[in-house]
Amino acid sequence: MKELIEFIVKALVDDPSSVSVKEIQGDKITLYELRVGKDDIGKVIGKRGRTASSIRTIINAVSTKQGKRAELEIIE
Amino acid sequence: MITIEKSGAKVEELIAEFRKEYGLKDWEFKYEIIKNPSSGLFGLLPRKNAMVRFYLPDIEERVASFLKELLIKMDISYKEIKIHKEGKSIYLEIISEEESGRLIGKNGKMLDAMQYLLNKVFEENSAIDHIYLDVDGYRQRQQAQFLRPFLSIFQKVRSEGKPYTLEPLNASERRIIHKYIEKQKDLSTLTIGEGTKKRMVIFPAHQSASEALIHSRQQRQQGQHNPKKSNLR
Repeated sequence: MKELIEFIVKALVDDPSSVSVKEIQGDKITLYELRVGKDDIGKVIGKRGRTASSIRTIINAVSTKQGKRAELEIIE
Repeated sequence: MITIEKSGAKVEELIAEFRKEYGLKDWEFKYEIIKNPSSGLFGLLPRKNAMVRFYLPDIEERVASFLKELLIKMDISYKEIKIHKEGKSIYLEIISEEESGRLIGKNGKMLDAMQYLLNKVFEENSAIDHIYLDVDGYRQRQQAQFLRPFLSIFQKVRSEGKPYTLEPLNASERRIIHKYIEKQKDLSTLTIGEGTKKRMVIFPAHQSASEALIHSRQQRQQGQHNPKKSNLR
């Protein structure tokens, strides 16, 4: 999952080297903390949050198949 | 695939320059260093520039390889990806069969999310306007279903020879109608209004757009042209 998030986000941003994803395992939920370069935050969130919600849709579908819940948090 | 060679003082600079020139991400192209630069030994030998050969796949191949990689990372199996380029539009269709449902999602939510991201990733590329993604003919079926109620209207325009102004539709809905009418030799369309309130006028192909426009304006002024309301009566 971490790899999937990194792949999508790195393709979207201008500065892929500043992308990092931290995985925090919980009992039922796995939290993914995403950090990107300062100038790229807008790119991962998108107009009216549409890019972020598209990424979340994909993450949810994949995590459901794995039988776990995943949540993505974009750290500003 | 195109091959481009560049020479300059430093390899890193050439790569950065190439990326910027074509608006590329690192994973979109490959390169090979043909010649490393030399600074000229103790000033005895002349300085030599670096030479780098870049390999740039066609845009549709780049979009398809991104999609393939995405599907692998999503752990979704598929049989085939069909690619088709028409002008500045790229049409991709995933043939999956087994995982069709997952790829489409509820009301096409997953498909829309993937299509949106594909467009965002390739947004800066001037060679393309829009990428359309489909899974196992889902959008095709949706479009056919959407068009069904309009077919009798189109028939009416043909038989009466008068323009017909449709209710306001959003951009993707208008596109479906537009593409359909394009294939009908005896009908034409034009769009009136602004913003989200755009309406389409369907008119016989032998009429001019201005004729159709005058006609549709008259119809709306007379208020005799609101199909939804008249259906309710």
